[in-house]
Amino acid sequence: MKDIDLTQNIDLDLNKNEQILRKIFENTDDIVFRKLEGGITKKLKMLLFYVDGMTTKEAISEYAIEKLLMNLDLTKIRNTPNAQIHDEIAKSNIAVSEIQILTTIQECIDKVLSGETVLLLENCSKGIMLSSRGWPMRGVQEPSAETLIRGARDGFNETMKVNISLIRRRIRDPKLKVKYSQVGKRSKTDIAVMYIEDLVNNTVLETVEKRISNIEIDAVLESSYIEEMIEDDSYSLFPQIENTERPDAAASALLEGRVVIAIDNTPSVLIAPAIFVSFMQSSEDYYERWMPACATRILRYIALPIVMILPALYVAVTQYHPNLLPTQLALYVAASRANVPFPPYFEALLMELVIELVREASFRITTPVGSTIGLVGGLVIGQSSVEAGLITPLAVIVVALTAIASFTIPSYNFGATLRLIRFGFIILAAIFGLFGISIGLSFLIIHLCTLKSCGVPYMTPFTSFVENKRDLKDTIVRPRISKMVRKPDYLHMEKKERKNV
Amino acid sequence: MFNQDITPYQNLSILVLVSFVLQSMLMPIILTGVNGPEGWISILIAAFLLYIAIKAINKAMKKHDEDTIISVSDKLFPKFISKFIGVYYILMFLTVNSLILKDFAEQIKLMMMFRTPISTIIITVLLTASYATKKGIHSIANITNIALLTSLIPYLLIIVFSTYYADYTNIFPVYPADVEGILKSVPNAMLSFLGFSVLLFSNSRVVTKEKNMKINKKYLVISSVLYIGSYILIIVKFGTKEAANLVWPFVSIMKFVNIPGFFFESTEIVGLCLQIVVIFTSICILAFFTNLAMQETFKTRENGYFIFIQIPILYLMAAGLPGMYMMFPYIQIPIYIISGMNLLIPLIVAYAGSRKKRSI
Repeated sequence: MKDIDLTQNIDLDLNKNEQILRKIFENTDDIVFRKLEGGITKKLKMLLFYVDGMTTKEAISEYAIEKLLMNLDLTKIRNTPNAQIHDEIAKSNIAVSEIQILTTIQECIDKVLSGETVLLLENCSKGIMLSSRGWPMRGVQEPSAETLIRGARDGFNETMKVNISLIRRRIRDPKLKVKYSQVGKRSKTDIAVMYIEDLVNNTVLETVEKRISNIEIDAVLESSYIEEMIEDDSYSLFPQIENTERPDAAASALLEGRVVIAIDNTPSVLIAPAIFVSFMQSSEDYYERWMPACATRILRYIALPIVMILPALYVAVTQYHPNLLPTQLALYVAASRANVPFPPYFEALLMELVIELVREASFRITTPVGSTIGLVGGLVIGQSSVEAGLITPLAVIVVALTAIASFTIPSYNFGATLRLIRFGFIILAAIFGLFGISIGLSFLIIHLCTLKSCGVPYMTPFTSFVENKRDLKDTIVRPRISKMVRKPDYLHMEKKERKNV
Repeated sequence: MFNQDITPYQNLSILVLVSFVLQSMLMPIILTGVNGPEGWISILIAAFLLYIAIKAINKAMKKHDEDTIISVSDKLFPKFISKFIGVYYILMFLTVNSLILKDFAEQIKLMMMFRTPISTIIITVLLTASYATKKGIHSIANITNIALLTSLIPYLLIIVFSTYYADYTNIFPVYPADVEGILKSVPNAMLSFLGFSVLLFSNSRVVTKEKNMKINKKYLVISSVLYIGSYILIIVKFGTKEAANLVWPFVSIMKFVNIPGFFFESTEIVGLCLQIVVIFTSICILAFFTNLAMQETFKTRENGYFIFIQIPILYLMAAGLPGMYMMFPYIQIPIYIISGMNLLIPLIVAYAGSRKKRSI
């Protein structure tokens, strides 16, 4: 394998080509080599090779092999110079959707490993790719991580081209562009960058394309690989690229002028740029009637500080500032804490740890058992801990409320980040009380304000709320669709109008 | 496309926020300086004087809109003068920042962290501020806007609820006015508009510089309204005599906040939590502009790393200074000097600039 130069051109000698290919695919039993003598008079030697299981065998045998063996007009081909035989074959009526002429051994290998079939001819230094991709795939199902009450039920699957077609079904606009590329030296994973030509911000598009082209890795097995390598600050806890399993969400992002990256073998697409508010929005916000949707969104913004700082507030208030509480509550807290052996911060950390363990355990097991574990973990451990006098009932309430609030965050990645930050706030509250929480919040604000997604400030439109005041409309509240007459300002797109396009 | 400079309204937020912090810190000086409820007249006079200065400076800086006060003076004056101006602004920003830091740390110690050494509070704040300062003006402007939305506006809204049982007759009589006290308090009020000194640097970093004059005017109006509003609020709530004895009038006023249905007992701690974010942001702003002044004075390419020089200086100054309430009797003359310099330096630069333009 080491001695074979893959960049070499296809040889005129078919046997030599076969030897090279067989050497390359030594001990690779799923590669099928089929030698044929094509044409009615059976004079032209051919070699067909493909990967078993990645091709549609029916297409190859019925439409390619049959044509080559039975119907090929060799009288015409016999008079053709060697260098142009491939052209004649390609022009003949082989009933496959796509044909491509190949020059090097490397090209042949790449195509075959992508599921195509390659045809090599005697006395011809070109190969012919016959499109034959086809493998068992999961059907279009409802995305499990982004379920809705109202809205389309179709979700992406692991085949990139299916995913692209699901988006195209929603945007039948010739300006929707799809650019293919491959990433991964060994995996050669297909990637499609999608955008709407007259809406996308070219700076963002160039940034995304440049970052993808700079990726150097042996294999990309999931979209997270790409996400991590194209985000602005991979040390940040906050996700800077959005991902979705929903074609409607991807289509909506494209219509906002953002870039969608579809990756083969991944049932979700990436969306760039992603800003803070986009992680707080759900597709359903726009499918429900505007007033309930608006209330739901406000509820999410109320849940946000609960997820981050409620346990820390519990620690700070009980440990440092009980004078903040109404007298009756302060007395109740003091009484309930009288027999608890642990300080408040330990209580909070312990309960948060238990909640995270229950959550992780329920994710690893099948859904019905998972929910049982959740119930057992939540009820039994909580109840027993209080009865055993290890923690106070108030701590259980606080931690349970925090856990419930965390489920209202639509983005799993974002929610996970907030859950992690919570531990930092508990530690700060344990050391500095409310001052620690304030310093932590200040630090968080600084971090979020310095963060960018493909050059776009993460906290936009809040960071320039006067200039981007129109964008504020669709942040904490969800306005009526008829009032959202303009696309977001923050991407500086030329065609902002939604009406009279 | 995504500019690293700031927008005009981000500039406005920076100026308003930094002035508000200094105004709340120096409020006792205005309250004690004027014998009566006419301190707002000093604020008005100061604002008017600054308006004239801002107009002159903006006119003179039109040809040098990419320059700060230091780089303009570098072009107009001999080197030693521009170096002197640079060093002055560095020292002024450092002094004011350390005063804010000290005052802030004392408030936290007395209201929240009784047993924590003040130096621990100062170091914690400085280390967190250094993270922001290194990130540049765009991040500072973003932080300011977020602090404005999440802390300053809620803080001001909460303060409105302290007006229960306020005695509005306390703002009278305006006549006979304490003219001498009013005039003596003008420099105090002028120093409280610290945004005036900051704009000499920040205007050069604005994307659309033609809006600078409009934004600077808006800053003066908003800042004056906030300052006069806060002054009147304190006067109507406490009366002239009691107000003169307040060390932290804003903390005192938070004790009287009465929001219907609000169950927290110590509202001043809630206010202080919001104030922490506001003051912290102003420390970041001042630290950044000190960095910028250092960069312009010492002609370096980067300015982020100057924060590591600032941290020990600020720590030593803040830890070494006595509390604000102990400094009040001795602070008057330094305030006259700093206010005078803050007004005169830009005016001289503006005058030199306009003369040079004429000679060209």
